[in-house]
Amino acid sequence: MRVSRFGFIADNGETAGGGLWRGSAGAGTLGAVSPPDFELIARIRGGDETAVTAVYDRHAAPLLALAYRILGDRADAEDVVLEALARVWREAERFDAARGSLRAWLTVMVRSRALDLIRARRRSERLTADAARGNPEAAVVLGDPAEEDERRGRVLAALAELPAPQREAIELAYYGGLSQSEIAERLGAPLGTVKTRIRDGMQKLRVSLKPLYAGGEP
Amino acid sequence: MTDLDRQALRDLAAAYVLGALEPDEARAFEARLAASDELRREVAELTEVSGLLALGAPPVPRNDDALKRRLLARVRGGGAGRPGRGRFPAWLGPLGVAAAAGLAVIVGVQSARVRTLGDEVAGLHRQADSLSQRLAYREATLDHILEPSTDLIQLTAPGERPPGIQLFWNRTRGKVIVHAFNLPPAAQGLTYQLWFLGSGAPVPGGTFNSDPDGHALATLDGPPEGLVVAGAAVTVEPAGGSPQPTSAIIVSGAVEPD
Repeated sequence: MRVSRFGFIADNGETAGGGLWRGSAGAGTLGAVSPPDFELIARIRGGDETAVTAVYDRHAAPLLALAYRILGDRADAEDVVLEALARVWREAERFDAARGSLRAWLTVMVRSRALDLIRARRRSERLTADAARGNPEAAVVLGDPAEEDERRGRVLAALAELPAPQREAIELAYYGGLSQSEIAERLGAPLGTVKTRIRDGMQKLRVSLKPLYAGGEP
Repeated sequence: MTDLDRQALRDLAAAYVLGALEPDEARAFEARLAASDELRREVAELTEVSGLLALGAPPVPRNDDALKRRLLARVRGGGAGRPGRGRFPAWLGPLGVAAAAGLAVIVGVQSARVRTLGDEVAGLHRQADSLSQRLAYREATLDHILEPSTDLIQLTAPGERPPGIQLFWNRTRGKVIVHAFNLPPAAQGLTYQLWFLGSGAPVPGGTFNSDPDGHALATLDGPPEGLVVAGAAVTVEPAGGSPQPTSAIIVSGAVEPD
């Protein structure tokens, strides 16, 4: 009945990220390796705890990397990711594969919570460090499953193909949680220019990453 | 923000998904999102892109066994079993019904792994019934909002995380849909009351209250015919409402000129 509220994130009054998604989860192709997301969700709805750890196996690594990139603190990053996974358990009925993938839902939850924490931390500590710069200690490459490595490689390649100003603006928003006007101030660029960079950059990523989310890959 | 054309809205979608809009921009965008399937598809697709961007962060060391133990402890800490089974939020709309039907099929073919198939299906039927009722209300609400004679009045207040109210005023039907957020429930014996602001004293509107999560959705009578409405405001009043305001304005906003 919340007519103008959409999806998980907006339901919490959090605006980072949309909330609606359209989905590929139902056509997951990792079935040979692990159960597809819709099956995991069905098992969670049936009260099967092992499905939660299966969701962990499938999604935790990039979520932890994202949370750590934003927060620069391993304990906080773990807490944020575990809470998101626990929410999947508690709120599995809210997941709708027809509207988006489990990865998208989890990423929205993790990113939103991590950005809330970093913003609160900035306010309380008056931090001025560039959060988008990330933590160099995070750059420890571990042996991820090959398929995740391949997907990651494609995401990194898509980011590398962006003009640097577009990539910079998107990263400041995505990892730093900065608004467009804050990015403009940070970069000393006109607001309109920043808006164009974000719009054009995201549209390019949409084209280059489409095979990863529209082609049935979860 | 009220006259944003379709392309301008699509341009905002990327920043919305990244959380890079200013709060007032985001609220205005969400109001438009309510009325546009095309825009929702745009946001949905960009949300998938955002989800994939998580893969761009450098991997971090982790102890999977320990983390999974903590996860299970957290899951079990919520009490026996999962809470709130059978909840399908109204925003899922018709897709929620489809999801329920799809789940029923999945449960059917994988019954060996689902212990209580009968209970599950019965639960889904109950969900579908409940959802149908809520859908009917939502459809009526959407019809109200989407009619050309409906104006949106945004009521706000200063502060870091102020309450906000969107009034969808359908002049043809003479009704106002109140959608509130960040609005804590009024204390026992009190209620929120809407006021229409014209050239004279505030004209009393209907009363409503919010849920514990700070949201409210209510359909109230519109202003009396003939009143030239310049704006609206909300105050806290004794239950049942008051003929004139007895407390300070919580949120207010003006009718934007055509």
